[in-house]
Formats: sequence, C-alpha cells, structure tokens
Amino acid sequence: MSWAAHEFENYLLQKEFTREGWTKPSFLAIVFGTFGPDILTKFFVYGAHDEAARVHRDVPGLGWSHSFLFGVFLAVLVLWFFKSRAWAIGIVIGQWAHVLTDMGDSAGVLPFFPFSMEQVTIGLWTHSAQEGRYGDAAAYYSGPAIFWDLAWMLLTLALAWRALTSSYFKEVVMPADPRAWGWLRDRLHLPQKALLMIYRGIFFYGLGRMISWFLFARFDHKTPFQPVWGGPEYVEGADLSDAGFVEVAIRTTIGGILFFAFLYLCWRLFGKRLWDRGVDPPVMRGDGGGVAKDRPDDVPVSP
Amino acid sequence: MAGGEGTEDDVRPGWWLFALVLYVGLSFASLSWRDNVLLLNWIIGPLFPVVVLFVIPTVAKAAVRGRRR
Repeated sequence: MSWAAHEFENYLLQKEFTREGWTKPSFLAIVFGTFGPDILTKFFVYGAHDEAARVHRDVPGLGWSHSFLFGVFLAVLVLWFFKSRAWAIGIVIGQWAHVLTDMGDSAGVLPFFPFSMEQVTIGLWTHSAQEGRYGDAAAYYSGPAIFWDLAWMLLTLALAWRALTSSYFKEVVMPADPRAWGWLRDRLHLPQKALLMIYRGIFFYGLGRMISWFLFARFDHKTPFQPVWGGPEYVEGADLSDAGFVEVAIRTTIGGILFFAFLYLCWRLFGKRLWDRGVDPPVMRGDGGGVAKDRPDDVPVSP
Repeated sequence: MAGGEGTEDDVRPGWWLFALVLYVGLSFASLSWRDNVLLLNWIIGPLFPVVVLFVIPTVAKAAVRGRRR
C-alpha cells in the first residue's frame, strides 16, 4: 500500500484527464476513487494480524477492492443512481490509479480479478500490514517507498502545480463538480477561501503524514533506514504468489484480455445506455458553466 | 489570472507552513493515541488546514467582536 502517493496523485490525475471536449472528471470523485479501496478495507486488514496481506489483497478476502473491475462497478452505480458522468469517470480514474500505485508493494494487487487470480507486483517495498498500523507505517518509511511518495509529490508539483492554484480551483475544479462544492458552500456556509483549503487539504495531508511518519520511524520507532529494492530488510514483506514471472505475465495477459472483452460486452449491453442517460456538468454543456456571477463567492451552483 | 498568483481567497504561504509545522508537532504529541486521528483518519487529516486556518480564526474573531460589544 502507498501512504501518501494516493493523496498527491489526485491533483495530477485531475489535471491530466481534464481535456476540452471530453468529460471533466470531478476532483472529489477522484479522491473517493483513490481513497475508496483502503477506506473499505483497512479496518479489517489490521485486525487480521498475520493474515493482513491476504485479507487486503487476496480472494477470499478483500482483494477485489484492489481490482479494476471494482472501480468500474462503483462508476456504474454512480452513473445509474446519480447520472453524473464527471463522478463516474472520476471514480474510475482514481480507483484504477490506486490499483496501479499499489502494484509497488510486495503483496501486489489483483488488477484483472476475477479473470486472473494472479497478484501483480514489482516488489519495490514490503507490504507489512502484519506489523499493525504503526509498525506498517514505520516499515513503509524505512524503505524505498519514501521515494515513491516523494516522486509522486514532485511529479505533481512539476506537472500539475497549476492545479493547486486558486484560479485553477475556481475555473476548473468547481465548475466540473458544481453540486458538491455548491452543497459545501450553501449547507456549511463556507466561503471560497475555506473551500480552497479543503481542496488543498488532501495534498497537505499527504505531505504532513509523509513527514510525520518518516520522523516517527527515525526517532520514535527507531527502525533502520534501508531504501533498497524490496526493502526494508528488517521486516518480512508479504508475498501472496508462488508463481514465477512468466506464469504471472501469461495469466495476467489472459486476464487482461478477458477483462477488456467483458468491459466491451457490458458497454454494449447497458454501459452506453447509462452513459447516454448521464449528464455532464453545466460547464461542458455550454450554458455558462452554471456559475452564478452575481453570487458573492462565485461558486457554481447546480441547475 | 495567471496560475500561482495569490488572490483574496488565498492565505499567505507562511500560514500553510505554520499549519504544517503544527500538524507534524501535534501528530508527534499524540502518538500515544492508539489510532492517531491526525495521521490515520482520511477526513480529519485533510480537514486540518481548514480548521486551523479558517474555522479557529473565524470563531476567535467572532468571540473577540462579541466581547467588545
């Protein structure tokens, strides 16, 4: 699992997937997608002690939460009940990013579940959930994963620094999701200044916990800093697969082909109908973006 | 407005730094809590800046104004 990468990647993804003439993904939906797999599972994972990795990433267990199909399932539900394309596409982007990001640890993920039951991993750092929350955090920030988080932060700052500015928030993020931001403004009586703080809060949280856990590992838990591939070496990382590289590659390829064929079938059977029934945010419909110019905080309101 | 320029909606970068230092300090001070909400809670953690930089100052200002009256 990644401890801060899931916070940083939201801004980069929102910026990169926002394109003219295409659905603008909701930032909050991307956050929901990137946080979702762990929010739903962490409580059970740390309660499972020695079986933590199996509960987190295998089936039987909660491994389905770290598969591409789960993101699609959530998006279909959102499209069905709320008809929001921006949220549906945002959830898929966020959840798929979570799955890809978590391929870095030793336990790996089941990206093409149920079409392939093979964990895919590059084994860069150890999955150490069996150590409990604090032990897991200490192990994560004692190995190469600190550079994984750092890389995501720097990548976000280099490629998507504009996504953190107030003008971007006002002109792109809010219009892409007028209902949610409008609700926060109207129900909680928050001015735009406060909404901007909530928006940036995810990045702040990623940076804050990265610093805090790193210091915790060094000065409180006092674990050795071993930033080597597959590290840290002082703790045993969970490995859920006995298969070799070729076996994993073949099974994953077959699973991937079946998964995308299944997606295509779903699209033909009901996906396209749901998508056509869905609505884009007002900003994409060319009716002024739903932005009420006369309102004091200039927050977009839902039609 | 060009990205990166401050607006009336922005607080100065120094305040963000203050919030970050406070966050790290409070996280450390509360390590003995079994489930550290600042570090582990996906709602409380991200809402920390808005609480420290907006809610608390707003409530404090209102309280001071109320006393003056």
